[in-house]
Amino acid sequence: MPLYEVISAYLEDMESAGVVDYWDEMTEFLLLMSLLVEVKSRLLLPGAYLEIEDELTPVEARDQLLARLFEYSKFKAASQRLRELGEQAACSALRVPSGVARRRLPALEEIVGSGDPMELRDCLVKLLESKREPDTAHIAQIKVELQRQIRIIRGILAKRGRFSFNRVFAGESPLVQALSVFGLLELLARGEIRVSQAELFGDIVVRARENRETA
Amino acid sequence: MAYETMSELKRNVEALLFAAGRPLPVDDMLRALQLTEPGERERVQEALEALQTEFPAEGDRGFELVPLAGGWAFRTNPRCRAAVAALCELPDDAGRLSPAAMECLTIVAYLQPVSRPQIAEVRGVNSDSPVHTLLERELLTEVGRAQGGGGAILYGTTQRFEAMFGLSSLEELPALEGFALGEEQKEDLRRRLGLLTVPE
Repeated sequence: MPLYEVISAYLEDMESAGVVDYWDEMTEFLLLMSLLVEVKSRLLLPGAYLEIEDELTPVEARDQLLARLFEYSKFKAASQRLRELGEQAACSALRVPSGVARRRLPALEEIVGSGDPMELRDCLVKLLESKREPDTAHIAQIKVELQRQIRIIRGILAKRGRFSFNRVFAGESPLVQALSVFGLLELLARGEIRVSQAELFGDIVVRARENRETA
Repeated sequence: MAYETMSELKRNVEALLFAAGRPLPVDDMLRALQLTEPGERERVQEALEALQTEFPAEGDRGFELVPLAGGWAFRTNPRCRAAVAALCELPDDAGRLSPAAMECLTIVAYLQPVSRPQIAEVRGVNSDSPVHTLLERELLTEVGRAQGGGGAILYGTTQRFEAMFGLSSLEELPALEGFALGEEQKEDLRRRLGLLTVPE
């Protein structure tokens, strides 16, 4: 039988079945065709296979190919049945635990002393499964930028000429306070302000520099 | 902890099944209920069967109690599919698997533990990509290494596989021989491949 007839029949079958994306099947089909070509080429060259002792005879090669196809067809049909089972199972939903109490960890004796590495693995998987997703709901998003703090300090100085750090920033979060200090340092480095502190860890008084004030 | 009456035991088993939200093995129930005496496994089984009578498969209740993936689980009644699907997206993971992945999964399900070369041998093509996909989806897992032949990784199916396909255990897989081609189909295949007759 000419191979092109087999290929044409296959393509017609696929198209008539309405299969659109059949690359998986196509790849397998090409492999089967190559095996078929091999079998047929052996038939065209009788005796050639005898040159290599281990080579199969055409009949053996044919039988082997068919046996493989028959075996493969079983799994292919079983996979279709399995897909049906999956589709049936997808008609139901399992209850997803939400807000459920954290599962208790397995007892230590269950993990230690197990001679079977697979059992140990299962226990470790249980341990890992016990961990819930971290709850970050209590963490408020804080967005603080150094540039913004510098703008705030400049704004106050432009209005008042001087201010007490504690009076302005004491009510802010530690992160905002820290960035405000960084802002002061930046403005000091630029020569825009003067600061004074009466005692260690005491209040900081911030003043605009005179040349800035006069400018 | 003793449960004097069957109704008390049944109530507690029901609570465990509800709280677990996953297929719960009888061993886990025994541990949670602190039942260690001989015969108590049978009592739990009895309680499960009684619950199953109350929540039968595709019965009148909104959910059913079924043996699933090596344990027991409550799940919604398939007859309520339309209502449930309108509220939340039902998992259709099996429907999303490619034919190649389904074939690989089937081969592993029936032949496990099995290596990639063995899968490729059955399918006749390299199967690395679909196997990788199945590993990512936690439908396959590594279960060991082959003794010879370079110690190839052996694969098996997971509990998630059984749950996804509604199997109580691997024993529930339909018999592979039931899918063997009949003589007529074999002849047809031989004919289609031009292998009906081979000159001697």
